[in-house]
Amino acid sequence: MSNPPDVSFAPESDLPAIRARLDVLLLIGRAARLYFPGLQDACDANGPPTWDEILHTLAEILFREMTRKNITGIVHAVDVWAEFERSLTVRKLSNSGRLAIHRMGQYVSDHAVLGRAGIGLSILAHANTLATLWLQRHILPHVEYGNLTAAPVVVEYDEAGTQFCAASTPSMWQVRWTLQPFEHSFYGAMILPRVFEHEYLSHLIPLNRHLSKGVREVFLIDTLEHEHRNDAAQNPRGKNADIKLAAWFRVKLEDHFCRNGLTSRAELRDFEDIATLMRRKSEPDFWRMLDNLLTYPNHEWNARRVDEALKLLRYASDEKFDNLAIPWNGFEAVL
Amino acid sequence: MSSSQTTNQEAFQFSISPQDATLTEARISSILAKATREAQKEARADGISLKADSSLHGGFFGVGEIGALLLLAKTATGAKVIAATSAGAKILGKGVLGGIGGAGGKYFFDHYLAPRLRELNLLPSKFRPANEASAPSSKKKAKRRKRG
Repeated sequence: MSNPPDVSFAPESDLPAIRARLDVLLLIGRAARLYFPGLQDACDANGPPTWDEILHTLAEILFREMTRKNITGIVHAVDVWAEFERSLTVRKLSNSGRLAIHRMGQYVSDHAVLGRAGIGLSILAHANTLATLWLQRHILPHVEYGNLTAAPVVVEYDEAGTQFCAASTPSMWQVRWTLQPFEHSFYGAMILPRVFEHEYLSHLIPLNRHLSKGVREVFLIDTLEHEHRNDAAQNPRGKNADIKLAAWFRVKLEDHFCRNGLTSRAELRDFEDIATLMRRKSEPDFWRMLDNLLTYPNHEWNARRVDEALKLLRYASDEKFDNLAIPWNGFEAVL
Repeated sequence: MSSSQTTNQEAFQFSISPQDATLTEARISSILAKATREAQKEARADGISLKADSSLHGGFFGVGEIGALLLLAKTATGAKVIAATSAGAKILGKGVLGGIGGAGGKYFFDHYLAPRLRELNLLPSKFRPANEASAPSSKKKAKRRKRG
């Protein structure tokens, strides 16, 4: 199967076994996401195990087999699934829960065939396209940004999990997506278009290259989430599933990166709620604020001023918030 | 391999991380030997007449990694070819021209040997001259990551 033109492997990660791991992760991720609403309903109605316990068990088996180098072909997705179905956690599920698991398993076995080798790259390419289309429809019309073109994606493998799970290079207009055998990668695989939306909005589109992690990983992600929540065109069950899974992805990701020292919780907390609060107070002012942020000139000093203004708003009383931010006159006006 | 025309020889070490649990050490050793022969053949087709030999050794590089040794020798005829080919000089750098050296050895490894190993599910890394100190300490590594 030839690769989609806009997704390729970094040479140092281009091994048949790593290609197979990508196929297996993204195939199982897709199956789990497809039937997740049914699983969630069953777990909510019938008590433990909860859906996150179920997904945790699946991720644990998948990544254990990956790091033991037992996954060398797409067909091994079936072995991973069989072991998952035999697990004690799945056996504790109610009948409706087991039905959802059975449907997921059926999807996996239907697609885990040699002829579908390379499916991982196709899934990535599709998610990348969906992300650009969604941004063009929902975010970019509110800000002064021209046509968004899909960035080529380069896949890397990071067994130790010491890199960021995705990294974008604006100068090359490229996204580097990293397969890491850790639980956050499984949640990421279930909500891939969201991961790409984040790469564009937080890393490729802003003109200022010095924006803090708080701005990129909290404020701009909250912006995406709020817009998804208000996306009337999306099927409600699917939308709720994505919101829930995206929230868990963030939790798992933050746990992982705080553990290995790539980020700290303290620098993230200062940026929570601001996007939602601002949008609830005045949507036109919120979009002006976002436009201002995305087009802020590329200088370290400017990025620091954005941080200072957002932190001030984060802890301001409602009255003070309104005085500082409504109408929106720019970050300097807040300070 | 014949050594009658050998003018000098340099040793390099690297690590191999097998990505397929079914690969035994004997199989890895055989893949490494075959990949090295093919790499040498392709290098020769490009006008780089080096003799290459490799083997596994017991060095400890990290969890799940096996140490390997690569010996590179420049033949007399090869030296002439390399010295006479300015394009080769540009590509390979002064390392090859003044002996095989680190740059030339790394070029052979990166362009001829490593891609073959990857195709066969052996992930190579940590290439360095055999006489160079071992991998940087974990403290140094952590510092580098933060900067990145």
